[in-house]
This record gives sequence, C-alpha cells and structure tokens, in this order.
Amino acid sequence: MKSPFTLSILSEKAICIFLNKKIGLEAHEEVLKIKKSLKSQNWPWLVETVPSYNSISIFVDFSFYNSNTSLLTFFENWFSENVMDEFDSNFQESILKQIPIKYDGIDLDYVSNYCKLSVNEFVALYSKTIYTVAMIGFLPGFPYLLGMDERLFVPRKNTPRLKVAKGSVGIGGFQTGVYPSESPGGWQIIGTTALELFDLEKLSYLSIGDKVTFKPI
Amino acid sequence: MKILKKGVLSTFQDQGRFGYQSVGVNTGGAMDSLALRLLNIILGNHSNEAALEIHFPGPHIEFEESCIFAITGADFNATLNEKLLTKNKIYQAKSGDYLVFKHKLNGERLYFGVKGGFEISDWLHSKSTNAQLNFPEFSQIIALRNKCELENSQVNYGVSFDYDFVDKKIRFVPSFEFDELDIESKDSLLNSEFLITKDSNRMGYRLSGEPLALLQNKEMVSASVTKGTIQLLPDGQLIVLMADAQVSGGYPKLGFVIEKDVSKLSQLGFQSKIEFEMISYELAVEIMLQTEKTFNLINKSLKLCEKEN
Repeated sequence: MKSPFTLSILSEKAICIFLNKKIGLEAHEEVLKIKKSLKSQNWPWLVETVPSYNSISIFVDFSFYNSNTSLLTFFENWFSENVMDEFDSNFQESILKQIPIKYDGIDLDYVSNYCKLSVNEFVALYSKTIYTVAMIGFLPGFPYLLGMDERLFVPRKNTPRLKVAKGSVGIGGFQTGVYPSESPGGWQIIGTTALELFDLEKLSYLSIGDKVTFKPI
Repeated sequence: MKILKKGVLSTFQDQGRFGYQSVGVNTGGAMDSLALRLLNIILGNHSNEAALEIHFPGPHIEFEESCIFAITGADFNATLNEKLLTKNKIYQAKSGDYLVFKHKLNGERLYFGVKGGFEISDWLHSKSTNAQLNFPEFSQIIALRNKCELENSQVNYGVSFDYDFVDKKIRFVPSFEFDELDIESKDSLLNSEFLITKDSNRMGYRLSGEPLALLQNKEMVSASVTKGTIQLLPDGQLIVLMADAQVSGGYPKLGFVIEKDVSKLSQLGFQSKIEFEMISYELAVEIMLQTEKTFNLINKSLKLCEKEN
C-alpha cells in the first residue's frame, strides 16, 4: 500500500509533510487535523506550522537538536504512532465569511470566452460556490481558495502583469483568490472587492479553514 | 544617531519574524544571519538584536551621542572620522563622529550595530522591515538604548571569523523533486558552474546555467518554501530563495542550500560564479551544530577577555 504521506526536508529547521491524496476538501481537512494535533503536543521547539492544500510544513528552532538528531526520524516516528484515523475527528465548524465583489475585472470577457460561457453564466457559477481558504501566502493576507467550479478553471497569464490593483479577485488554474495589496501578479482578474483583507494590527481577515462566498454588488 | 544619506537598500534587520507565515507574513530577517549573530556576540547584545544591513554605496551616519559599535559582514572600507576601521571589532563613537563606507572590497552586505541596540519600532515581535508592506518604516533619526563608553582598561580584541570567497562551493541537501531530475540535469547541477544574475535580490538569487529539467512535467501545487529553498523555474533555470522569500511557492523544489552557505551566498554579488556540492541532511545538521559551537566559543573567549581586564 502506498504510504498516506511523504516527508521532505525543507531546511535544517523545517520539514514538509505531503499527503499523497488528490487536492480537495478531504485532503485539506486532513491537513488541518494534523495542524491541530501538532499544536496540541506543546513541543517547546515548535516555531510554527504552515498548511497548504495537501501539505503542512513544520518549523522548529535550534533547541530541537538539543534532544533530537533528525527531523526525518522524529516525524516518521511521530506519524507512524499517530495514524491518520486517530487524528481528532471532532473538527470544529468553519466560519462563513462574505466578500462583496464587483464583476468588473479586466480579464472577465477573456475568461468567460475561454470557459465558453456568457459573462452572466460565468458570474452566476462563480458566485454560487462556497469556497474554503486552503492557504494564505504570496502576500500578507492573500487567500488561496479551494472549491471553484471546474468549468471556471483558466490558466494564469503567460506573462505576469507588473501591477495588479489592491482588491483584485483573480483566477489561476484551479485556484482563485484576492490580492490584498497592489503587487505584480499573473492571475486572470475577474472583479474587485473593497474589503480590506490585511490589517497591520488585526492581520489577515481570513484564516485557513474559513468558508467564503462572493456576493455580487 | 542620524542617517544623513540612506545608501542603497539599507534596512534594519534582526533574525526574522516567525509565527505569522500562515497569514502570509514572511520571515524576512538578515540575509547573512551569521554575520548578524557575530555582531551581536561582539557587542554583547541579545542574539536577535536588530542591526542596520548595509549595501554599497552605504549610508552616511552621524553619531549624536557616545556609544559602542561594531561592523561585521562585507568589507566596505568603513571610516570613523577618516580613520579606517576593521570589522569584527568594537569601537567607541562620540557625539559628532561621522561613519562612512568608502570602497567596496569584499562581500555584499555589511552589518552595523550598537551595544544595547537601536531604539526602533517592532511589528509582530520583530524589527525587520517587511519588504512586501515596507513596514516598520525606515527612520533616519534613531535613538540608542545604551549610551555607554568603552572603559580605558577594556582591551579591544578583534574576532577572527571570515568568509572563504575563493571557494565557489555552495553546499545543498537534495529533497522534494531532486530525484525526478533527468540524468543530464543531475549531472549539470552537480558538475557545472552557475552564474548569479542581476535579477538577484533579498527575495531570491536567480542563477544562470545549463537549463535543467524533470523527467516528467509535474503538476505543482503551491506549498510552503523558505530561505535556502532551491526552485526550478519553467525555463530550466534555478532560483535560490533568500531572506525575503514569500511564504509559499509553486515551482518544483530541488532541495535547500545549507544555512551556513546561504550566509556565504548572501555575500556574493552579480556575476559571481558558484558550484553546487551535494551533502546529506545529517551532515548539514552537523555543520550547523559546529557553527553553533564556534559562536559559543567566541562568546566565551570575549567574556573571558572582559573579565581579565
């Protein structure tokens, strides 16, 4: 049987656990269960865990090596003792958040055409989905959303734009997300939101695991 | 202390901002974290104290009070009131003294710090400037926490700690998609030279060399990356992620440059050539532990010098 996960060393002080599973809600919920389980260990050397779609990276500090010799050995043992099924199954209810969206993106016509849909059909399909925040990365507060309708998958632009405006809602392959600040970027822009996604004090408006819908305005 | 001219790319950096990668805030921190570590040992500061990371041309600094300072990392012919300074050594500055950097001799990044540290604002437990948010903002007038003077009896021992700029070897540990490289690519990675291109900065070093390829194109999904990660770009070229790396990346990863050699790499500039040497994870850990030991020894010997005087 294929092992349910693969461990890869990311640096002297980080290791990545990759689930050998199809990208989707199931894989992501498993990632969040592992995160919770890791956190509950209260290891003094654990710095942080960074989840993604189907993997989670564990960052440690130097003191890990005061009592251990290898991240690989340590986590191979830990995972074999903590079989996936045993990870806490009382998974907490996610929070549903709404993002107001104006479908005025510069690539909306191109994207609808690519999907062989009318703009109205495209907008209806995009708005009806409940998305899950799979990871936050690229920029502070940038959510990578899971769950987009397969009919809306559009490859990212061949040449990234030097400037994508703050609040732009974009599609990159099977992923969709929102630029919380102006930045270079290669995703197809379908709309904009006025919602602030990152604040220096409150940090990210969205958290990994949150459910999100887009409300047309 | 007043920074009269900012210089190119000067930022305050400590060892980085940890704990916020899952909200997309990258760690940042000093490019040459070992040089910063050494600086804080020499000054007797906390190991995570922030220093000014300086590139050439450097800033012009005027002291407004007495303090003890030191410089580590690159060699930019630093002078205090026209008197040439040596790196890895402590100096006394008095009000009105003037620190400038005259020529670029060796290395790319110099660290300038004061005993007791700079009075600068922090954000999320770190004083490093987050490049994506440009926050905390750079300030040109900085108060010092400690207005101290060197005692006459204090002997000024310089610390011997240097880079081997002649040796072009950068050691890495293979991981992730390394085994999926085709045979020619593995051979090129291990046996040919790579040039550091001008598109290299605090985010990453873009290299130019024989294009590499995986045996099979692979559908990649964004996942966590960090300082030292070696990524394979679609055109077959490599990028080594540095201190300002984003928290996630979607390119195949071939492994990571070991901590000690990330510091060395950060002191190499455009047009420098490097060669990769593959080592095991176990050896990488051993090198890290050895470096730690060296720092502890330097720390102990400096404390001993202070006591004897």
